[in-house]
Parts: sequence; C-alpha cells; structure tokens
Amino acid sequence: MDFFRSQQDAQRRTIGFLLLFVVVVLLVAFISSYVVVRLFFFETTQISDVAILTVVILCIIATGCLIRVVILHREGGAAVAHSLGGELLPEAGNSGEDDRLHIQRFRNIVEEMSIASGTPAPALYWLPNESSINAFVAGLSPSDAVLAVTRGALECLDRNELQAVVAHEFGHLLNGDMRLNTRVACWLFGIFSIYIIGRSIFRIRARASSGDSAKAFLLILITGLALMAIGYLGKIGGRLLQAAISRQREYLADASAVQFTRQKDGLAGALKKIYFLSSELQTVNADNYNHLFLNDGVKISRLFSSHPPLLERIRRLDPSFHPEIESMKLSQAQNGDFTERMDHAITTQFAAENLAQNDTTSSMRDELAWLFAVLIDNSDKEIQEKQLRRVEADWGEYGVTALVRKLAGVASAQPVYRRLTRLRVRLARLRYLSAQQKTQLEKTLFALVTANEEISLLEAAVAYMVRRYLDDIEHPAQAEVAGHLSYEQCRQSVALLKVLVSGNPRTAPEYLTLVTLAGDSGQEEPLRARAMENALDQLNRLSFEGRRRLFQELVQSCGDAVSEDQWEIIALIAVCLHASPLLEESDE
Amino acid sequence: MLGTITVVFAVIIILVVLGVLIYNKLIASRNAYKNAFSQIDVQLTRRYDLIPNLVESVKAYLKHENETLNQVTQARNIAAGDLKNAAASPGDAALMRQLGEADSALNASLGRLMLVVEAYPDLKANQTIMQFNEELSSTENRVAFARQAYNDEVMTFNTLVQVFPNNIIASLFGFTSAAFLEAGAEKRDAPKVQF
Repeated sequence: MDFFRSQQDAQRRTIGFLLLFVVVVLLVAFISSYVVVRLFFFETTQISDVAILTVVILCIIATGCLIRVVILHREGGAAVAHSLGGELLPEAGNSGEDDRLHIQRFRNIVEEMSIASGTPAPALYWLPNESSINAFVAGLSPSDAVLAVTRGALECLDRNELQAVVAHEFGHLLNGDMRLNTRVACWLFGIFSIYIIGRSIFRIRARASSGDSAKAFLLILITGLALMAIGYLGKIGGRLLQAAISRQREYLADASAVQFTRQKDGLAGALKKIYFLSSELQTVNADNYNHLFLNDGVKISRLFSSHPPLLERIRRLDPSFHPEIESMKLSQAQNGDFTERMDHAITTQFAAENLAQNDTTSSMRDELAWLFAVLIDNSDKEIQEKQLRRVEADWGEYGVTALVRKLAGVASAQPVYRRLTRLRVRLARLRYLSAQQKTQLEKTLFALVTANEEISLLEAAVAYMVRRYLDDIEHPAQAEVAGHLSYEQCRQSVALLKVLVSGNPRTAPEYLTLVTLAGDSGQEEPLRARAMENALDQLNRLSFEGRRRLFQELVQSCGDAVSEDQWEIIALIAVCLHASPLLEESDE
Repeated sequence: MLGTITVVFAVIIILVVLGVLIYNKLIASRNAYKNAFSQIDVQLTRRYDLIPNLVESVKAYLKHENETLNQVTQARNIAAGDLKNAAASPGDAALMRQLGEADSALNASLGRLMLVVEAYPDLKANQTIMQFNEELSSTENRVAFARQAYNDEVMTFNTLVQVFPNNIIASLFGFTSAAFLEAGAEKRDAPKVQF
C-alpha cells in the first residue's frame, strides 16, 4: 500500500462525493420550487419565478444548516465523550495495578503519535465499561478535540496495534474529518428542513380548513405533501452521500495511520482482532456518533454505514487475509486466555506448522506412527498383534509402538479420506529419515501390508506412494514425469485402479481376475500386493496424454458424484504418478 | 483602451494575490519543517534526561549487573555531551555525526542491558521492569517518529517549492529544497526491546 497515493485517492473521491452532495442540495431546491410554482401558477408558469423561488428555498436550507451549526458547536468534544460513557483517563500512577501499565502505554503512544503527526495531543478519555475494541475522536477544533479508547482496545491490542489505532484517530484529527462530517450533517439538516416545512403546512391546513375553498385547500395539502416527499428523499440521498464520504475518510485515516507508524501490520492486526472480536458498543448513544469511531459501533446496513466493510479495509493492508484460515487457527489454539489466543492465531500465521517442521524428530515419529496405524488391521486382533510386533522390532527404539497402537484405533474410526489426507499432506515430514531408515521403512511397510491374508489394493497403493515418494527424494533426477506407453497398452492396470477407486469388495471376481492377469498366479498373498505395484509401475511409464485420460476415466468411473473417499484415493494415485488430478482435469 | 488597462490591471492584481498566497504557504511549510527538526533535538534531550532515572529504577533488581548499568550511564553521558555541542553549533556535519555515533553506542549498551534482563525470567514479569521496558521503547519511538515527521515535512516543503507555479516564487525569494535526514548507523541497530 502506497499510503501517499491512497491518501490522494481518498481526497479525490471525497471531493467527488461533496460535489454530488451540492448537486443534491441544488436539486432539492429546484424540484421543490418547480413543484410549488407548477401547483399555484399552473397556467402562467415562468422560469424566472422558479429561479427566484429556488434561491429562496436555498436560503431556507442554509438557515436550517446554520441553526444546526450553532447547536452542534455548543457541544464540545468532551460532551460527546461523556454522552458515550467516557471518563477522563486517570494518570497511570492513580490507576489500579492492572490498568497502570496499559494506561501508561496508551499515554506514551499518544505522545509518540503526536510527534509523528506534528499535531498537539488531544485530551484523553476512555470507556472503562466497554470490552469491545473501538476508539473515537470528537470535537470540532484541535483545542477542543478528545481521543477516547475502549478498555477492550487497551487490553486486547498489543503495542503496535494500539499505536496504529491511535494513529488512525490522529489521521481523522489532522484531516479535519469531524469538521467535514459536521458540515455535511448540517446541510443534511437544511435539506430536512424542507420536509419539516412541508409537514407544518400539511398539519396547519389539515386542522383549520373551513374558511377556504375546497380547491385551495386541496392545493395547499398537496404542496405540503410534495415538500415532505422531496425533503425526505433529499435527506435519504444526502445520508447515502454522507456515508460514502465518511467511508472515504476512513480509508484516508487508515492511510494516514500507515504514514505515521510506517508499518501496516499494526493496523491490520488491530482490524483483524476487531473482525474476530467486536467493535460494538454497549452505550445507547453509539448510533448518533457512529461516524467518529474506529469501526462501526452499532450494526448498520452497508449502504448507510459510515465505515467501509472491515474485510475490505483489512485486505487493503494485508491482501492475503482469509478469515476462514485464521478462524481455523483460532479454534485450534484452545489454550490460554483469549488475548493470547488471538495473538497466537493472527500474528503467528502457520507458526504451529513451522514449529512442527523444526521439531523434526517428534513430528517424524508422529508421521511414522500415523502411517503404520493406517496400515494396521483393526478388525483382527491376531494380525494386529503380528503387525505391532513387526513395528516394535523395526522401530521400537524410536518409541512409536504405543503411539501406533493408540492411533490405529483413531484411524479406523475415521473415514478413508481423512486417513489418507493426513498421510498425503504430511508425507514431506518423512524426508528427514536417513537412507538406512528409508530402506527399513520400505521393508516394514511391505511386511505390514502382507501380514493379513487379505491385502486391500488401498494398502498396497499407500505403501507404493510412500516408497515412491522416498525414492524421489533420494534420486530426484530419476523421477519420471512422463513415459512413452499409450493408454491402450495399460488397460489392465487402469482397470485395477478403477477397482481401487470404486471401492469394490476385494473378493469381487473382477478383482481376482485382474490380480491374476497382472502377473501372478494369485496363490501367494505377497504377490497380490505386487499386482498393485506392477500396475502403478506400468502407469508411471504412461505418456502425458495417457495420464490425462487416466484421470478423466477414474473420475468418470465414480459415477455421477465423486465421494470424498474416492477423491482422496484419486489424489493418492496422483502422488504415485507425479501428477495432479486437478491439473489434469482443468486441462480439458 | 480603458478596457485593456482594466484587464491588465485586474490580471496584475490576481497575480500579486496568487504570489502572496504561495509565498505564505511556502513560509508556513518551511517553519513546519524547521520546527520538526527542533523536535528531534527535544526528543533526544528527553531521552538522555530520562535514561538515568530509568536505570536508577531498575538498579535494585539488577545488582549483579552493575557493569552493564554503568556502561549505559556512561554512554548516555557521552551522548548528552555531544548533543549539547551539536546544539551549540547546529548544522555542523562533524558534530552531528559524532552525536549519531554516541547515540548508537547508547543504543548498543541498552540492547545489552535488555539481553541481560531477558536472562532472568522472573524479572520479565516484574511490574517495574515492564514499565522500564515500556518507557524505553517509547523514548526510542519518539526519536524515530520525530525524524520521520521531519522527513515528511521536508517532503511536503520540497514538493511545494518544486511544483509550478510555486517554483517561480520560490526562486524569486530564495527558497531552496531542504535535505532529508538519512537514517544513520544509530538507527539501524536500535535495541530490540522484547520480552
């Protein structure tokens, strides 16, 4: 974000909306005078009459505006702060032990921002009863200005974030936004005075009507109604423009905040916290002063909101922000108090992942255990014990056996796709195994796959995927991307994969035939496992065109809808074949 | 004839008014950046005044680290002396550089102090230490923001001086572009105060 550019943009748009606002005022004056002249001098309508009346009505609007200015100017910043439940911020020394540091920090930050922006520091208030995150400035002149923050802002935001929030409010001060908004509000009241006049005419005539002729009576009633309608519509139009101007001023203040703090993270962090927590205030007066706040203090529809959508503001600072991802992190970090959780989830994106990667030994153990657990037969105790003994014999020294036993239960309770996704996504962790360990792992996998009488194709495919992956790490140059075999030459292998994806029972005659055809008699179980491997080996020599067709066929073989399990198996095959099913599909 | 004279006269008046407006704007902007420069001095002075008090407040907790504390005090004294010299003859590049070096030495010694504090886990949670930390980072920020504000004002002033038609008035009355304050070595190794 180039903050000087953003500031120019916002200023330019503000001017555009202000011009539109002037147009609205002129239109209201012109239309209402035209209507009145039309009604009373129907036969002799003259443009000069309309012009004169327009000027008169403009004067009325200006008067209404002036009345409002006088009223608003009597109300200083401090009064606004009090009406919103604000209290003068106590000195750090006079406050409670818990608040002392927060208050001192806030005072320091305000002075820093005062230096950075070159404006005098405003009077400081806080809203001690508001736990949401928000802040506002009020007052029309710099000497009258007050800056207030909620208790939530002091407690939930870290130093950088609070600094950015204060900088945002200083931006409002420096750009004269309160003054601008007040002026617009005053003109809005001027427009509204047309409505008030119309209403008065309507009421007076409706009450005392007997003296006049019926026609004149009706005429005046209609005039009153017309003025009411025009004034009201004008007010709505003006409100929309006021909100649009205010939204531009928010962007401007955001850009100013970045200018003063010279960093985007602080403001982005603060806005993200608001996104997940809240900026809504308890106080009843919040909607009258909504435009002053850091973010909307009340719920309000988008068109009339004085603030841009929060997500849009965050994205301007941090285009990579995805609330879904962040909230997932949030729910994962269940421990610690809420502030800590927020910090954890937001400021340390993917920190958990990185940590696990650094801590290679423990995460590798987890992944090994998961891999074994997926292959363990949970239905047959005898085979399970046999498999576990094998794990103990090969990997006992790393202490995985107990973990495997536990995870085997977890894995079998999960749907296939969950088991496989976890395995596939974290396959990379196994790269830290030594060459010797890798060889050992291949042997163990083979033993586990062949331990039971019935080998599922899936188990064989999983073992193949792991082996293939480890091979590729060891010999990256040998990893074949595309071969020369045509799709037709691999028909049998493809058929086997289709059986795997469609999830037909292992005993289906189709399967047994295929296994036999794929190169062994079907007498010995280990050879059946080889059938899958042979098929995948052959498919690895498939041409690029053939692979594309393979994945199309696989997806089609699933019928109308691809289930999550099927999709995950296809993804697994893709890993085995160094391909991406998604890519292949989008090539169509 | 009379009409032409009126028009010429009107144009001259407009030009003069415009010129006065531009001149005033330039003066205002020049004062703003000069004031911003003096703010840097103010903040540096504030920092050097504050550090002895801060050191005093944590002395009781860091009895074993007297040497580190003394280094901070010494570095502060040198920097404060340099600031006085630099203030006596502003614009002296050599003195300014000397001040910059002294300030960076002070920052380095403060950085060491913070490292020391970090070695005591129970100190980190201590209220006094936390306040010490807060004040220290705040004084550091103030100096940085004062420099930044100066540079922002300089940029505004330079733009004002250089755009047309202001540049005509500016050259007429001898307004020249101001120099930015480059971040010196002292800025680059500011102490990372983190617990």
